[in-house]
Amino acid sequence: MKQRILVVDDEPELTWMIKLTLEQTGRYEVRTENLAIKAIEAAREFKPDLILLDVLMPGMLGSEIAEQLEKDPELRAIKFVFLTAVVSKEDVQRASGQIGGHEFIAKPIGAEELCRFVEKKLSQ
Amino acid sequence: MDLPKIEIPALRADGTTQRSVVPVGERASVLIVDDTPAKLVALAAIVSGMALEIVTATSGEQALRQLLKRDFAVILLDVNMPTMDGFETATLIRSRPRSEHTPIIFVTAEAHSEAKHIRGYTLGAVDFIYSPIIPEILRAKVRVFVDLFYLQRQVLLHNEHLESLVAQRTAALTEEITERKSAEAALQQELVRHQETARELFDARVWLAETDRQEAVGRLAAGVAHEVKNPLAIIRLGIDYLSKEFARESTQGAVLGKVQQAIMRADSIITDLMQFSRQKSLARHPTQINAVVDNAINLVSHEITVRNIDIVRSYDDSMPPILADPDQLAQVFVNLLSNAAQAIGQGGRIEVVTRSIHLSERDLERDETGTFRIGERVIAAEIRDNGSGVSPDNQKKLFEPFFTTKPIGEGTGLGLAVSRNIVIMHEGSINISNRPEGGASALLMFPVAVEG
Repeated sequence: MKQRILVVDDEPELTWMIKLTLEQTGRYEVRTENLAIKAIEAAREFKPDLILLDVLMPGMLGSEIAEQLEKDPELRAIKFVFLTAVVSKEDVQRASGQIGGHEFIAKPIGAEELCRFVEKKLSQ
Repeated sequence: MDLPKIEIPALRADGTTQRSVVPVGERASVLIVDDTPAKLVALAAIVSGMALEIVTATSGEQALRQLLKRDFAVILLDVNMPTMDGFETATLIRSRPRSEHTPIIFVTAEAHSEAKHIRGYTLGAVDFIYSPIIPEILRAKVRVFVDLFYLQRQVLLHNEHLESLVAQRTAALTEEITERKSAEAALQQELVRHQETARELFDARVWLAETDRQEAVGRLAAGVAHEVKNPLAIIRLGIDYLSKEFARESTQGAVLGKVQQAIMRADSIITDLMQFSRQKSLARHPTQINAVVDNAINLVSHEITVRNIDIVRSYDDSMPPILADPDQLAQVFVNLLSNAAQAIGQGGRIEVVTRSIHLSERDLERDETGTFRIGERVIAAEIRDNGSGVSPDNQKKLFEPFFTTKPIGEGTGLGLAVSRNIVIMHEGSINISNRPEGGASALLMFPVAVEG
C-alpha cells in the first residue's frame, strides 16, 4: 500500500507541484490542503503517514498545527516536516526554535532532494 | 585728545616778541647778579614790571646758592665782580646739569672787547648787554628768554601729556590685544567644539540614515525573499518533473537544464541579498585573527586544491586579540581567499600575512574608511595573490553590491559588499589594491581589543 502524504501550504501551485513530484515516484498517495485551519481536519480524514507543513501561513502557523497534532492521541503518530523559505543560518536557528527543533525543508527544493528527504523521513 | 594750546610768539621787526605767550604754572624767575647794590636795584627796577619773580645776588657764590633752590628763566650776570667774576660764575653754572642750559645775559661795560665776547660765548652766554643799559633793550632781551621759558615749560607739559596719552593708549591697546587674543583663542576653541559637534551630528545622522536604510532594505529583502522563494520552488519542482519526461540529450532536456541553472542562480542571489541586507548582531569577543584565517583557509581548501594553488602563511604569533565575531570574520576571509583563487585561475600562490603594526602615513592611505589615526596600533591581515590584479576601472566598484567580474552564474557580486559590511561592523578597514610585483593585495586592519 502506498504511503500517504499530506501537503499543507497556502500556495495551491506549490502544493500541486509537490503532489506531482511525489506521485511521479509512484510510491506515495498525496493530498493537498491550502487552508491552514483545515489542516487538522484533513489529517483526521486522510490519516497521512507524513505531513509537509509550511511554517508561515495566513490564519495559522505551521508550528501551531504541529502542536495540535502532537496533543491529539489519534494524530500523534503522524510524522511531520516543515517547509520554509528561510535563507540563512540564523533563520534556520530561529526557525528550529519556533518549530521545536523539527526538521525542515528549505524552499526552493529540487525534486530529487525532496523525494530523498521524504523517503528517509518515512523510513525512520 | 586735549592738548594744551601753544602759541608761537611772532617776532617783531625790532627783535622783540609780541606779548603773546601765556604764562604756564609758576611765574618765571629772573636772577640778577651784581656786586654793586645800586646796579642790582637799577636792573631789578627795569624788569620789575614784567610779572617776574626777581631774585638778586651780590656775588657768584650767592648766585650759585640761588640756583640750587630753583630754576630761572634767565640770569643777568655782571662780568666784573671781585673774587669770582661773571665768567667764572658762568662756568660753574654751566657745570651743573640742571642749569646747563639756563640762558645767561652778561652785563658789561666793555662793549667792544672781542676777547671777552668770545670767552663769554664759549661759556654758553646767550647774550650780552652793555652799560649804560637801555631799559627797553634789556626788557626785550629778558622777554625773549621768559617767553622761551614758558614755551619750554608748555612743550614739556605737552610732552608729558602726550607721553601719558601714549602710555594710556598703549596700555589700552595692550589690554585690547590681550583681550582680543584671548577672545580669538576662545572663538577658536568654540569653533573646534562646533566643528566636532557638527561632525558628530553628521556621523549620527549618517548612521541613523544608514540604519534606517538597512532596516528598510532588510525588511524589503526578507519580504522579497519569502515571496520569491515560493514561486522558485514551484518552478524548480515543475522543471524537475518535466525533466524526467525528456531525455537529457534532447534539446528540450538541455533547455530544462538551463532553466534549472537559472533557478539556482536566482536562489543564491536572493539568499546573498538577504544576508547582505540583514542587520546581523555580531557576537564579538577577543579573538586571535590567525585562528580565524586558518578556519577560512580550511573552508576554501577544496577550491585551493582543485586550482593547484600554494598557500603560504606568514603569521605573527604574538599579536594581541581583536574584538571579533569569528564566524562572520571567517566569511570575509573566505570571500577574499576565494576571489584570490579565482583571480589566479590555475596554479599560483596566495600569501597570508598577519602582523601588528603602528600605522604609518603610508598605511593610512589604505584605510579608506578613515577609521584609524597615525601611530595607532592595529592588527593587519593581508592576502596577497599573484593573479590578474584589479583593473583601475574596477577598483572603485569592487565593494558595490552586485558588481562582479566573474562569469554569469559564478558570482552574485555581493561577496565583497557583504565583507565590507562585516569589516565595518568590526570597526576595521578593508582595501584591495594591486601589488607592484603583480597580483592583488587585500589588506584588512582592525583595532586591538581593549582589555577589560
